[in-house]
Amino acid sequence: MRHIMTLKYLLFTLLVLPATLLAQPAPAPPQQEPIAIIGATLHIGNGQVMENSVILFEGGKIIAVDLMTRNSEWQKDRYRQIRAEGQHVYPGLIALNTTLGLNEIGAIPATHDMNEFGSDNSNARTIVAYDADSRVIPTVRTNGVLMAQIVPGSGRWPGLSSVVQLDAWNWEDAAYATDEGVFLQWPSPYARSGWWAEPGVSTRNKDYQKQIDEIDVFVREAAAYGQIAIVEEKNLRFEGLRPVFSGNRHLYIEAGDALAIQDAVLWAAQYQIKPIIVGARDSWMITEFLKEHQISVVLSETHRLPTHPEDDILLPFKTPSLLAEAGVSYALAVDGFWQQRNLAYQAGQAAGWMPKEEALKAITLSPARILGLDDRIGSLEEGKDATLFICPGDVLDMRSSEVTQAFIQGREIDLNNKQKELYRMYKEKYARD
Amino acid sequence: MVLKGFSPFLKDTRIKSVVLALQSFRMRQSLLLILTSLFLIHLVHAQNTTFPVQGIPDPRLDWYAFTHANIHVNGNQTLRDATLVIREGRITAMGTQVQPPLGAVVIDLQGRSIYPAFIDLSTDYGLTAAEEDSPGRRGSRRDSDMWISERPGAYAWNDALKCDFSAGAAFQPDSKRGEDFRKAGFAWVLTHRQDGLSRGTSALVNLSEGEAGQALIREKVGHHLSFKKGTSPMSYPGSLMGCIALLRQTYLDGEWLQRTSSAQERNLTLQAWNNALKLPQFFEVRDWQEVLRAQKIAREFDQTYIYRGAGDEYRRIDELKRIKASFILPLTFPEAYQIDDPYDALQVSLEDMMHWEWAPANPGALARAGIPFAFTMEGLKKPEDFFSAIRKAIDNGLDEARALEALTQVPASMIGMSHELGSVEVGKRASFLITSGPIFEEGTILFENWIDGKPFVLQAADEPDLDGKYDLTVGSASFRFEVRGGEKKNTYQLFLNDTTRVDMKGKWDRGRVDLQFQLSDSPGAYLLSGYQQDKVWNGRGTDDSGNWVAWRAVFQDTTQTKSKPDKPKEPFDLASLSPIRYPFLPYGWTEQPQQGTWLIKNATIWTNTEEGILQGSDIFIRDGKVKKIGQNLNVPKAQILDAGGKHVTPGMIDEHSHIAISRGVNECTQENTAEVRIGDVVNSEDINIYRQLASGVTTSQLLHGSCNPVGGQSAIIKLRWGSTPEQMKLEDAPGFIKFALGENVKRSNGGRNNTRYPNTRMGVEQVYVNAFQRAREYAQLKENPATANRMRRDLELETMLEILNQERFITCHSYIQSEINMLMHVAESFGFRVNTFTHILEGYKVADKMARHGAGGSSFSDWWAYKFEVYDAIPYNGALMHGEGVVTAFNSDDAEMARRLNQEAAKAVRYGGVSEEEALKFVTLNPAKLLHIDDRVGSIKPGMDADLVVWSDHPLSIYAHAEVTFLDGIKMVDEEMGRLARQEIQKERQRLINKMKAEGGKNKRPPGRRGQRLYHCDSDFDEISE
Repeated sequence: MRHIMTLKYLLFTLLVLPATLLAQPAPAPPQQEPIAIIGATLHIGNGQVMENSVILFEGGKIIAVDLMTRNSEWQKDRYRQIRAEGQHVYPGLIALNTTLGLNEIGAIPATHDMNEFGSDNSNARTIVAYDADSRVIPTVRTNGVLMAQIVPGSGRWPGLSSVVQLDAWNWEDAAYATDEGVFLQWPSPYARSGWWAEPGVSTRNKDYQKQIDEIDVFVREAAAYGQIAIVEEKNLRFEGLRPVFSGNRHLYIEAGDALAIQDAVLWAAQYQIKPIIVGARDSWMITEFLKEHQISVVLSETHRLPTHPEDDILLPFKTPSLLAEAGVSYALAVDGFWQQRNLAYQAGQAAGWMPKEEALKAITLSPARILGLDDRIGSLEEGKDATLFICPGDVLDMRSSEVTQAFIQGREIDLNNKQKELYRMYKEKYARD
Repeated sequence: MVLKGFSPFLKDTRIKSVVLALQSFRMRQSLLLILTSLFLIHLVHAQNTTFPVQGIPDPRLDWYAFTHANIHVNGNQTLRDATLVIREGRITAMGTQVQPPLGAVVIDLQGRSIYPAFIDLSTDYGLTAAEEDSPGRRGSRRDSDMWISERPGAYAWNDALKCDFSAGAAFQPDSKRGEDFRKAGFAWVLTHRQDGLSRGTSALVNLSEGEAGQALIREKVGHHLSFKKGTSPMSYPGSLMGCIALLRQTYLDGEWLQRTSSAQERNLTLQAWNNALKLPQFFEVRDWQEVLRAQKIAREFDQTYIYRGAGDEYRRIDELKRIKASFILPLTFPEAYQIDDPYDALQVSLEDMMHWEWAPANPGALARAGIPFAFTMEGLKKPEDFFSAIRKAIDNGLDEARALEALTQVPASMIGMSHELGSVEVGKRASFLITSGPIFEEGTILFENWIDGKPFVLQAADEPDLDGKYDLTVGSASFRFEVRGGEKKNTYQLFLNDTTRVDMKGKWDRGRVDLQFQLSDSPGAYLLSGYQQDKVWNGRGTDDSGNWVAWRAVFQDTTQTKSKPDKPKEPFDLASLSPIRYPFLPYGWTEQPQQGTWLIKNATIWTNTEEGILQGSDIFIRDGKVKKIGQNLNVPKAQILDAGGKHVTPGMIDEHSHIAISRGVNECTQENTAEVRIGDVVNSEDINIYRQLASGVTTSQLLHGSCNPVGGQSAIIKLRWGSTPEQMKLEDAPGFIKFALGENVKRSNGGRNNTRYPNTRMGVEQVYVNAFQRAREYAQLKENPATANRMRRDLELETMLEILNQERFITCHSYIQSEINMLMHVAESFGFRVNTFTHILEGYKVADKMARHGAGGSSFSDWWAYKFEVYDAIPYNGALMHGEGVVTAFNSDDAEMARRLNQEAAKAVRYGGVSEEEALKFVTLNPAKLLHIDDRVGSIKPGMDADLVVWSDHPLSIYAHAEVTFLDGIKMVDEEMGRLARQEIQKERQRLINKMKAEGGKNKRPPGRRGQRLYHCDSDFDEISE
């Protein structure tokens, strides 16, 4: 009896304690050996599924995706084999429009780095504030989110976004596409009187046109400024916009109302800019317009309440399917930071009204396309990064969405996190009692 | 020729009227009498006033006889061609046979009408608005807290109680506003200062001008209450439920003060309160739900309130009739929306459009239901709007007689003044209106408003009917002109020949006429002045060359006026209005649903009993209960619902919800607010009820927020969409109260300087120890006959005592292990148990202790990192607590997440591997156990409430959605019903938009929509100042 207790304690100290001390998992080293995942159902990310598959990756890149029966390469000794029969392999999920790494604890402003003073911060860079050590990040990738677009918070021009991979020592290490976009918050066509607890009536925003004019003056001057390569006195804000005019930086415009979206798109067209609409709550109402102007949207969460009491109560769940049916280019996102771990469920929710693989695409290949990174990430295709994970079940459904192994650029990452450690620690405590 | 609108009285010059009266021989006699009796009257008057007279007095008889009048005694009785005699402000005689007495000024009304003057019971006429004594500290905008009144004097602790304010003492006539009232036909108003929960007493005043002492009829008439805190700078109450608690405690305190002489406290507020309770009680409400809320107080303290209604009473006529409420109704009918843009149209809610259509029909609806009401013109922008509003109400189904009663008899009787006001009868005050015809008819002129025997001319003498063609000779020249016009203004035109006419200027003033015209070829204008006597006009003037000449015009011929055929008014058709919905929202029922007899066939049934999950089974429902479960059940006459391939679970139960709450989820303003009750503020008109019901939630505990260590009492409701707030409450549900620990009660995160105790978790413990110690001592006083009937009943301590006596359970908002441990220790030291820890994100750290203590845990599945105390929160919390034998539930605390409670339950499978059957119990049976209602809900077996959800898929799958929800055996929602409702909503919106577009008029509102509050635990705002 005593024996057992001691053994139990020993096990506890050996297994639990060290891990507890190292609550933050260390980033993985570069891929050392080629890996073959065999027998799994591949969810390519482009809408396709491949059963009894083999996927090979080496040096961080996918080198082959095929049927087990057709490609025998995996049988070679040089491959580390991962048997995944009956399991599923997905491309790493891409979280768009998140403040992950910029916000550690919601209520504590000292841990916030997304809202800079002033409204015109087209020069402020999220990448340098991104905390690769955030305790939140491991809890997110545990659920298959392996890439993220880190975006600034508030203001008319909140700042510059960057894309990161979620297993890094520091921000330089994390950076995947630096300063890839500038964010603009489009004014609201409707203004509500009153305040939160005493909401008044929302009517047309009287200053709407004026606010658009302010944006236009700013951009017009930035565009003119952008025509000269060397200026005597640099304007850092305009420098932030310079690559937008040359097509080397995305313009993300946050807008929700149908009117605002259309106004924003038509305004940007004057500068030959195709903005990406973020939020896009009413996008389903103007699908013809969006298609005609070839506009992509980043749709915010399906898990939200309908806008109006009259609305179909399921409308937010159905919105992705309405965009898909109409052929609008869109991706799904969820606001916030820790909430990213539920990204897969945003797509799962949408899958009630569309094929599952299409819903999956909205958080894999589609965001990669919108970011302009679909040559490198977003799907399980030859030549792309081996950023992927294995899930014994359906990752879109919380019933079975546990991720067992994940790779970022071929590196097998540690799926441990602070919460799993606490879980183990207390399971052990109760086992001891 | 008849003189239309002729009025002998001008506002300020009585002499003129006497001069005119001289035209009549009879009047001449009267004047003689007045003159001879002047001296005598003066003596009488001097004896009846304390005010000294400067110089030579000018006393009057104030004695008038109105002859040939149609006297509308009240709404139902009219005397034709009758005489009315008034003297010194009273009606002294009236009838068809009455002869004008000698001494009275006789006024021949020539067939005009006399109506009783109007009374408005809801005004602040003649009072100055209360001033904020501490600007910037008021209500929601307060920048620091005020716990105890800083008002000097022996007054109550709370400034929202202004019982000692006497409108009578502060009243001063207001000539501008008085005129507005008079123009609308009012003679008297009941005025009170609209500030505070108790607003003090009102005064009855007349609307004549002059000294306050002349206008003031009664100093203290009514006691006025509301659920608005007004200018009080104090923190408490900060919510509607706090207002209700404070009013209830004040009734108790007043009673205590009266009962016991041993009170150690002199309290002028409560003394005034007790006195005010002897008067009629008026209660201002924001909506019909507040009527029911106030009525609960009225029942508890044996009060009768007259409600100053909000105009939405039509929404629950039956309920308001059942409680025998009476009302003062507003006539503020909303303007139509100006809708020109499809996106803007989305900014207009169906509710607001339906209200636009229904509001003018509100008075008629109450009248038909036999609910007594008076009218107030409060809220109308101009006095002219008053009659058009009344007409609108009449066009929308209000009987004219009832309209008149609502302005006269009803308000008179509401203030117990029927013997003096409200009709034209002998002995009553002489206040009446002289009109050209039926008072509410379009085009009727209100000539004069007599107020307590004093005349006010509203419409000066009009031009008489001069219509016709006249031959005009000016010196040697001859012309012909024509007068055309309506009742108010005539136009004059000169004929040059058959086709050419020239405009003339013409003016008639009490028989004197001026004419001006100029011919195109003449050097100057003709300026003529003279007198009209019957059909001949005579006078002198200057011709176009400036020569003085005589002129004369003679009536020749009547003008053919094209009378516009009156557009026949469409009779009011109740059925043309939007059907009343329960609730008055999209998806509201147009007919209350009924329980059915149902047989759900071939389902996979998650019973939550020993039976486990049954495949291919049937459920028989009748009378709101599950009757039988089995295979191949056969029930004749049951409606069949084929659930083949589908899953049926018990309706989900949200242990922690803040939907369906009116005006404030937190009474944040004291560390212990055990006296407030969410049950007082359940809001049946919240769309989230429907949304959640349609998502499979059937029962919710509506919790007070987490702003203070002891929050308010909870309400357990079923999501009975369409019921009233009281009907939604689960019958005989056990009592619960919200406690809270940690950052929220320390108010750590709001960014404001907290000055309210406690500031640490140390202080939190002491709040509890103190509160339970006080409750224990309170119990001892109650049990001791020597002290029992002298003691003050305290609602807060009564509630704490219920907890000690284990008659009320605690649901405690909690996060970290230390505080959880602490509260269990406090409870044990006072001999009771904490029932539920809610949120409890570190419950996993003390799950063993919780299990030993007997506390349950109701948690979020996976929330964390939103504040420091949840930095150690883990999604495995539920699994760990469950594993240690803690009854574990997942809750929402969020209007959106509550729609996916099944998915939250599935996260217990995902994180920690709880079995699916057990995981579903996290949102069904386990919360039922925590709420002690598992004998009724939470599982499926015979005898349980038929609260069931039919799922499209496995209920823990994200792909599943609730297809049908049964509540109490009623099919509340299914997909087809939802689809039909949406079609109907669209149709109804379109109809209303078209109707608004068809309505002319310039006064339209821009499209707009009111926002909705969504509460969470830490929603801490003052919501009741205005």
